[in-house]
Order: sequence, then structure tokens, then C-alpha cells
Amino acid sequence: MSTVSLLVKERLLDPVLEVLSTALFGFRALVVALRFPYPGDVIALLSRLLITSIPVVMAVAFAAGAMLTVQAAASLSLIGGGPFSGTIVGLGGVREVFPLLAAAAVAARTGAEFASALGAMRVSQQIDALEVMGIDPFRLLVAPRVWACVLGTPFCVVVSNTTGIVGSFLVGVLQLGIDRGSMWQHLMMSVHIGDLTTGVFKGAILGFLIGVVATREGFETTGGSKGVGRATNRAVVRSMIAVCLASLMLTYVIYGKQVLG
Amino acid sequence: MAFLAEVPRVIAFALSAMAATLRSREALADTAEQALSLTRRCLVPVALVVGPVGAMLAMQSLSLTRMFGVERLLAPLLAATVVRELAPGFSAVMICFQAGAGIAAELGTMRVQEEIDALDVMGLDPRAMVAGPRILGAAITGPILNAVAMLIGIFSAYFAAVHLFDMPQGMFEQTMWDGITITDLWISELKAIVFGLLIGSVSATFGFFTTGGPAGVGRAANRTVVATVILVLFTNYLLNTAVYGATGGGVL
Amino acid sequence: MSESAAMPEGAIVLDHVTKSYGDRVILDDVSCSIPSGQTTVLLGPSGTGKSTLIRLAVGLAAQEKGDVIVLGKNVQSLERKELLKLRQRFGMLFQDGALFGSISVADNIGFPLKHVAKKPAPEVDARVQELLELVGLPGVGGRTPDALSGGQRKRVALARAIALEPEIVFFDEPTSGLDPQTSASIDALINEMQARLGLSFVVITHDVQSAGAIAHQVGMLFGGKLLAYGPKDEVFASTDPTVRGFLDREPNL
Ligand SMILES: Nc1ncnc2c1ncn2[C@@H]1O[C@H](COP(=O)(O)OP(=O)(O)OP(=O)(O)O)[C@@H](O)[C@H]1O
Ligand SMILES: [Mg+2]
Repeated sequence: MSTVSLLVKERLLDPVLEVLSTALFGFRALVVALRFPYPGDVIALLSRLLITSIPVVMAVAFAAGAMLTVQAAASLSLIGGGPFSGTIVGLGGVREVFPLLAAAAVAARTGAEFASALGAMRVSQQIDALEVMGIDPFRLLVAPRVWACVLGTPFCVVVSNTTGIVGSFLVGVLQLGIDRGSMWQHLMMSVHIGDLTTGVFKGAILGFLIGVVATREGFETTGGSKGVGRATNRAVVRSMIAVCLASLMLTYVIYGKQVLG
Repeated sequence: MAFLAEVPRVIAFALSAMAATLRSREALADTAEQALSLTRRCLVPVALVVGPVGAMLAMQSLSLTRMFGVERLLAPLLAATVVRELAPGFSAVMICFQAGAGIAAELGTMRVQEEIDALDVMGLDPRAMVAGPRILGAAITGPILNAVAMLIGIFSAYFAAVHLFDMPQGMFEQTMWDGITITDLWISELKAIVFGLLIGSVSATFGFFTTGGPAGVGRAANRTVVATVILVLFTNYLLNTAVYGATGGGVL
Repeated sequence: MSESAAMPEGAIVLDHVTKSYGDRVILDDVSCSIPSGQTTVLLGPSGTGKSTLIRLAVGLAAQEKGDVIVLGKNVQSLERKELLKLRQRFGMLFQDGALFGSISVADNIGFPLKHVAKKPAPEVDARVQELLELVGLPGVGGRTPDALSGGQRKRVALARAIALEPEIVFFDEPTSGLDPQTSASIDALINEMQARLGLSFVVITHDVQSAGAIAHQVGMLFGGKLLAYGPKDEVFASTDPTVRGFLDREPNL
């Protein structure tokens, strides 16, 4: 009986409470962030985000574009294959895969960095020191990081989409010997300008989630330097869960079951 | 690239660390523990990337194959993509993100807090005790996560195709194995072991030789992620081209 | 605590305060009134709750029972905004410094000047130089905290705590980890500031000699209770065996 109730508490109640308290944290971050406090900090954090994430985003998106193209072309060879791989990459890539990879990179790189930086500040009492000075650490530390994510993630999504399409095109043309014009046409046929702006919008929402989840884990770190490691890891896992669910939901809301553009 | 200049050092360090670890019973036990903790750290991220990508791929390809009336091509296409590329490639990337950065940060912290020096002074071999178990642990984690990724990738593609887009269930199950063979599965697992070794070696070396205090730890973790992601994706490309040929070795 | 009732309006008043972590009671029904414009020293063995007491006073932790009144405000019942405002009248030296690791020593000291008092940059710079000289560290302003020794970090944290000359300054072990001469200069610095500005200081220390040099009031915490509290001479003349044991450095293990 007591083990059952313990299980219910651990598996059901605690996660729900965690989600609620993260949502509350996010709401507070939103309210504080709307006052847009220190642009200097936001710019520094944003450029740091771009520097750490962009190389990784480009590598992963290029490879993803290339590998999807090779596999799709090989499998579709019966129906004149080749160029249709461009359609698959153009559609599935731009709408879901490339944005998701970009957000995953930001979550893993910048989310981890934010959580460990704030976690280290928490355990060495730097956040307490701010509190005692009467400075709101939320405004000083959390808000600029959330802003950086909201501004930086859409940019990563755009880079990811572009690199993915380039990867697909180059591999199609240079390695698979698909006709240049036909490959380009099939890639572009399925990508609308609307998909790109949707990507930016989606990136901003995913970025907000990453920023909130990562700063919250860092901000509420307990248990010394071991705790900082735990918080960092949790920040990545949890922000990826949030990003993944939100991404699927947004795709569904935006595109519904209408699959071919 | 500056990384190329470090290749000899990475190879020398990783080999000596693994050799030292294989000779020590305690270090081997620690290897198992590392493998477990690395796996736990990466499991959710791997599933969260491979799952949606598999489902999305299924949806897009389904509408295309339907248009041409060749729906039975879908399952082989998905199975081959997941087993050959998606699962090993993306699970390796997530290992770079989570485990690679984690290993570099852990060893880097031990270095700047003088824990590695403390082991040295006690006459213990820090390579065997802290570096080797993580390298070997990553090599064990690779194929475990790849296997999980293959399962999740194929299942989510199956779920999307059959349950969301009404593809006949029997068709998916019957044609799936046209796209892959048991050999493909083994090749995929072998690749994952290679990726795990590469990631473990680079991240352990970068972490172990961290300089420049706490800021240096962050730098080491960042360098590790960039270097391992590029290394793994490039190796994946080379291996796949070598095994399946430049056109991906037609599935049918 | 019968004395506490007799004491007039204090800078900090603890009224039957109980604080536990889990089921371990750290502070057990503690009452006292810490007068303003004086230096009050808290003594007591390691782990008895001295730092905890300060954390309650600045609102970083919450007690289960009793009230903590600081500068006439009940800390626990304040809105967050009001609490932040109240805290701008405090300075605090944390036990481990809590310097901001990512910015320079000078920026650390200038932090409250810039962000709380919103002083213009030249004024901040001048004041930072003055403070660095005051704590005997001219010329280290450009370094980051991790390039300092433990004692140097402590002194930088002290400079940051007093930068705004706030009404109440909390020092959690200002002289631990310092050599006797530097400790003596810190004591002198505290005395000088106290006399010149009439600030209220609350100082935790393990150093009985240093307590003798700076205290007007002394409190002794033992096992969660305030065993002795009052003017320095009274407490130092106490005949309570536990208090005597501590003051006379008798081994206790
Ligand atoms: N966050 C916490 N959770 C649980 N226990 C705590 C926490 N913080 C402090 N304690 C415990 O409360 C007790 C009092 O701690 P406190 O830091 O106030 O001691 P102190 O008197 O300042 O000691 P020292 O002189 O060593 O600094 C200690 O036993 C400590 O282990
Ligand atoms: Mg203390």
C-alpha cells in the first residue's frame, strides 16, 4: 500500500509538480523578460549561443540532408528515384527534421551551458549574494538568457534549413549524378516561403522553452558541484523533451494532416 | 583545422589509457559503471531525436510513394534509412552532445581542481582510473543506444504510417525486411562501436589535458562537441560509402 | 532570554525563532535584539547555526516559528519587491566570498555601486580604487577572482560588502584564513568604519581575540540555543562552564 502510494507520488505527482513549477518559472521569466533589461548581456549571450551552436548545427544538418537524400534516392530508384529525394528532403526536412536538429543542438550546447553556469553560481552563493544586494537575479541572470535563446534559436533553424538543403543538393548532384536543374526544382517545389517564416516562429517558441527549462534547472540547483552536473544533465534532457513535444505539436497545428504542400 | 594536429596525441593517449584500464580489475568494474551512466544520460535525447525524425520521414515518403502507386516501397525505404543512417548517425551525434561534453567537463574539472594531480601523487595511474573507463564505456554505450535508436526509429515510422496514415499493417511488416538484412544490422552496430570509441577518445583526451581554470573546462567541452560531431559524421559518410557504394546500394 | 525584553528597539530583532533542516533543529527558540550602531559578534562552535541565523535575517532562508524583524520590517512577511528594497540597505560578506567568477575583481566590488546605487562609471571606478586600497589590495582590480589567494578573495568580498556603506553589514567570518596581522587590520577597519559611520555590524567569527577587539555585544550560540548574549564584558566574564570552555579553548572532542 505505502509502496503503491510512493510510486504514485514519484511517477505521477512529482513530474506533474515539476512541470507546473517550470511553467510558473517560465511565466515569471516572461514577465521579467518583457521589460528587456540589459541589452548588452543579451547580445553577449546571444553571440556566445551562435558561436557554440552554429558549427554543430551546420555539420549535423548538412549530414542529415545528405544521408536522407542518398537513402531516399536509392529506395525510390524504381519510380525514377533521384530527384524525388529532393521532395522528401524539401518537405520533411524543412518542416520537421532540420528545425528539430537545430533546436536539439541549442538545447544540448547552450542549454547545458546556461544550466551549469547558473548552477555554479547557485552553489557558490553568487545568486544569494545578488539577492542580498537587493538585485533581482531573475532580471539579471534569467531574463537575458531566455532572450538569447528566443532570438538565437530561429537563426539556428534558418541556418539548419539552408545547410540541409545545400547538403541534399550537393550530394544529389555531385555524388548521385542527378541533374542539377531537376534536383533544385524538386527541392524547391516543396518549400514555400511560408515554411521558412513558420520555421522562424517555431524556432522562437522552441528557444523560449529551452531558455526557461535550462535556466530553471540551473537556478534551482542544490547539492554542491555534484548537483551542478545533475542540473546540467537534467536541463538537456528536459529541454529536449519540451522541444520535441512542442515541435510535433506545432507541426500538427500548423500543417495538420495536409502532408504534401 | 587545429584538431588535425592533435590526432596523434588523441590516439596515443586513448590507447595507453585503454591498455592501462584493461589491466586493472577495479578500472574494468568502473568501465561498466561508466557505460551504464553514459547510456542513461543519452537514452532520452536519442529517443527524442530519432523517434520524431522517423515518423516525419514516414509521413513525407508515404504521400510521395502513394502518388506514384508504389506504397510497398515505403517500408524498405524507412527500414534501410533508419538502420544504415538515422540510428547510428543521430545516436552518435546525441552521444557527442551529452556524453562527449560530459566526459570532457568531468575530466576537465578533475584536472583544474587538481584531483588528477592528487591521484598522481598517491602513485595511482589517473589514465587507468578516470580516462580509460570513460573511453571504453562510450564504446559500449554506442551499440546499446544504436540498437535502441533502430527500434524506436522503425517503430515510430511504422506507427506513423500504419496508425496515422492508414497504410495496411501487413504490407509494412512483410516488405520491411526487403530493405535490410541481418548483415546491415551488424554493420550498423559495428559502426556504433567505432563512433563510441572515437567520441570517448577525443573527449577524454581533451578533458584530461584541460588548461586554464574553470573557463578552460567550458572551452574543452565545447571543442569536444564540435570536433566529435564533425568527426563522427565524416566517418559515417566514409564508412557508408565504402560499404554501400556511392549511390547507397539500391534497396530493391 | 530575559535581557532581550529589556533591550530597546534593535536593528535586528529575533522573536522566538525556530529553524530546522529536515528534522534537525538548528535554531531552537532563539530571541534577541541586535542594537543598531554597534558591532555585535556571534561566537559558537562550527555547525551551530551562525550562518543560518544571518540567512534568516537577510531573508535567504525562512524560519518555521517566530519572527525576524530587521530595520522595523518583518522579513518573512515582505513582498519580494519590498524585500529586495530592504536588502539594498544591507551589505554581506559570505563565508566563502561568493564573488562573481565571470567578472573582474574591480567589477565585483563595483557591482552594487553600479547596479544598486546606479552610480556613473567614473565615480564607481574611483570608489573601487579607494576600496581596494582600504583592504590592502591595490592593483589586483583587473584580475578575475580565481587568480587570487583565499585570503585575498575574502578581502575583495569584504570590500564589496562595504562598498555602499549600508546600514547593516553582515560579516560571515571576515578574518578566517587570514594571517594574524591582516586579521588585525581588518578588525581595525571594522572599528574605524563603525566609529566613523555609526553602522550596525553583525560579525560571525571563531577568533575570540578578534571578537574582543571589535565587539560591543557578544552572543554565543551552542546547540541551537543562545547561551549568552549581552555586552562584551558581561559575556566574557561569564561563569557558565560551556561558555568558559569555548572562550578558554578547552578541547571538546
Ligand atoms: N541547506 C541545508 N540543508 C540541510 N542542512 C543544512 C543546510 N545548511 C546548513 N545546514 C546544517 O545546519 C547547521 C548549521 O549550519 P551553519 O552554516 O549555520 O553553521 P555555522 O554555525 O555557520 O558553522 P561554521 O562555523 O562551520 O560556518 C549545520 O549542521 C549544517 O550542516
Ligand atoms: Mg558558517
